Amino acid sequence: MNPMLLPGLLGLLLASLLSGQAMAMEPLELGRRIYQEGRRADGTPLSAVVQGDIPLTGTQMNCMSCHRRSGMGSFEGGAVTLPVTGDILYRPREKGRWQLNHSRLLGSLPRPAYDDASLARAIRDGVDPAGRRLEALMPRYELDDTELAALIAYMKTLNAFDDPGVDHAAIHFATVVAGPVAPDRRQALQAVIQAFLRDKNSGARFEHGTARFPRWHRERKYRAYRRWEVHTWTLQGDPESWQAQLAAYYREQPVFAVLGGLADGAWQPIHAFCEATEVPCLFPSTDLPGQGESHYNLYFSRGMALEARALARHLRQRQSPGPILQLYRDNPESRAAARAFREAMDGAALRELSIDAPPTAAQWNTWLGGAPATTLVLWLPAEDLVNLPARTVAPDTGRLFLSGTLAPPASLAGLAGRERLHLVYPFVLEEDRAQGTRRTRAWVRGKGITPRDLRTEADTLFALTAANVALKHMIDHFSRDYFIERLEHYAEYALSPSMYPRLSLGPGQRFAAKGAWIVALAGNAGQILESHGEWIVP
Amino acid sequence: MIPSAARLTGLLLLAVASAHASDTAVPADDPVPAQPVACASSFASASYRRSLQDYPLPALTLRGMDDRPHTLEAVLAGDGPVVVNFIFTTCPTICPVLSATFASFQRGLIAEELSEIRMVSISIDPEHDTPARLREYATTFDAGPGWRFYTGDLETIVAVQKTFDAYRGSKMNHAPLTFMRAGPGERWLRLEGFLKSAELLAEYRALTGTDPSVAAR
Repeated sequence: MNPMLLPGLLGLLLASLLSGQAMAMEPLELGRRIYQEGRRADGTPLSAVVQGDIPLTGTQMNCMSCHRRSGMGSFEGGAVTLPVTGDILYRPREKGRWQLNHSRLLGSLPRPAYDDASLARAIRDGVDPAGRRLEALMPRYELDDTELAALIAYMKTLNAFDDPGVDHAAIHFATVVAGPVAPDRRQALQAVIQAFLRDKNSGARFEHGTARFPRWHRERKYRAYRRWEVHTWTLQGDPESWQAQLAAYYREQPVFAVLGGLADGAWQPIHAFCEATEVPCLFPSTDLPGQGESHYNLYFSRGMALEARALARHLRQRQSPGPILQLYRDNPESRAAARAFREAMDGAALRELSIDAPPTAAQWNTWLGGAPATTLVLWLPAEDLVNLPARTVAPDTGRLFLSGTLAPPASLAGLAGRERLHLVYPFVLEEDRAQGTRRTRAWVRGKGITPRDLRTEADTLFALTAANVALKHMIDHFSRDYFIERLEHYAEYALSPSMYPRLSLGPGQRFAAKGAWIVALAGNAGQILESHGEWIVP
Repeated sequence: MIPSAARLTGLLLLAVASAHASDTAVPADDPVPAQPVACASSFASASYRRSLQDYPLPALTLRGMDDRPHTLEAVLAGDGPVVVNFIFTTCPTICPVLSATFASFQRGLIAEELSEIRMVSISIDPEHDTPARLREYATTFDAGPGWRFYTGDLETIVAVQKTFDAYRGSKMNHAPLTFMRAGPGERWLRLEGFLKSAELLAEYRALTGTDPSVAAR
């Protein structure tokens, strides 16, 4: 043996003795990388051929693109991608009674169970254990024996067990109320959840009994029936401690997902908990969504950052917006908007002022009277406009922009000179007439709930309805990844009314509402916002 | 033995199931039965459907990878031939294959063809697919200079899809479609289904009347 190799080999031996666990994990990590990223051990993309003669790389398309992170597959238009989880592949697919109803999901042709050898043959040569050729749409990847074995080992781990939060009788969810949230919003959240659960768990179709003695053709569907439990996780004290409080709640009763929720300030601690615990957290009613990696957190929008970016795009599209002055308050929402606006304007001339009292009439006159006219960006509540002069001081006065979240239209109703203001507004215009908000109002009224806060009611109802639709499609595969994938797929279909003009998700998309209106305040009495605005998607 | 009613029902159900089954999982290398074709019969055995269509182009404005407005007419017109598909950047199954097909098709073109062709991919998820995301996607698929991506506001994108009879409501319902036209005023060749790279090249050359062996001389 070459003596030069000896120290290296000894080192390897020592390393493997010291970290036997880590060495044993290595094939699984390689398998994950192949499956999720389409990359080899050295990081280079895999090569494949699709449709017989079209070369592909693992970066362009990999196992996860179609079979998804859960392994449960997907369907898109006419293209059906079958599940590839170990527990499904290693069972025979018989033409059983269940398949009669669900051939679309699980593939329709019977086949024997896969074993390691036949699965390797399917991936490499595109032939299933019944000897049938897989569709040409399934890429044929070039994998060596080690890679193939690692990939198969990884596929066996996919969706092998039900995720926590589900027992034989109930599926557990939580909702979060963090910090001192306004009582109206807190009560609105609870009232919607309780009314939804009353209907959901009413057993109006005798589901409890049918689940125990299902009719043969519905067996699997009824076996999936679970009572819904929604636990309220109330967080108190310093937001720094919220993550630990959440972990304590979770230890006491694991939940399958967190639905809706309210927080005083940033959602970040809850976001971090959901990401670390791999618990899906759906559609909290927040204007300060979490930052950083987000697989398990789904949001309505980027909140304040969306408004700031939309406004920046609107101003940058104008030939010369002139000098811009940004005013903000020292609170989390206002600061977040100012920060996002600063970043989005990226070097454009921008003056800033953090204020702690409503500006005086003299200040307004100075700002508005300059030449060229200044554009004022006001991340302020309506109260701060109390001294805004009713009449234009200079003929060439600049434009004023307010946030629709920080200064809701209703709060601007009595404001003098409001026709010179524009609102950055992420919600539906003509709230009284819009279909979505009318349907939410009707639902609330129909359930006998006292209306308290329309946005909280609409947001919470959407989160519950979305979870319900996604679960129905999962039948008894209680996988959180699959849950997220179904939500990504179905959010497109306007599941439920909401406060937003439109909501849509797709694989990997985490913010369902993507734009905001720039809308003028109406000059005529009886109407606060103009009926039409400019829709900006930053 | 006289079959019982229950057994008959079972047989009937099985027959229904297998009929359904053969719809959804045709072994891919078997050619799908030929569909009605509107032109050249040499492609009749292909596993995709083809037809010639008239699509009057409405006045619409798209947004390019350069984040600037471009009229649909300017995007599709010009002297030479144009090839069009609809994609979105987070699409799981159909679009990566359509885009890889375009990439492979572009690599298969000879220099003369490359200089005159326009390849156009229009996003059907415009609010997510910003110009920046389209540029990133174009890089992932090594799109050459003749292949451009467009987005736009949602109403415009719906209208463009309707123009090409390609609108299916949700982006998750979209169908694999490719359109090509030899030049302004010509009819559109509509290709439904997944094509091999060689098939797309052959369709293109049949439509434009190019013969690479002649052009190469």
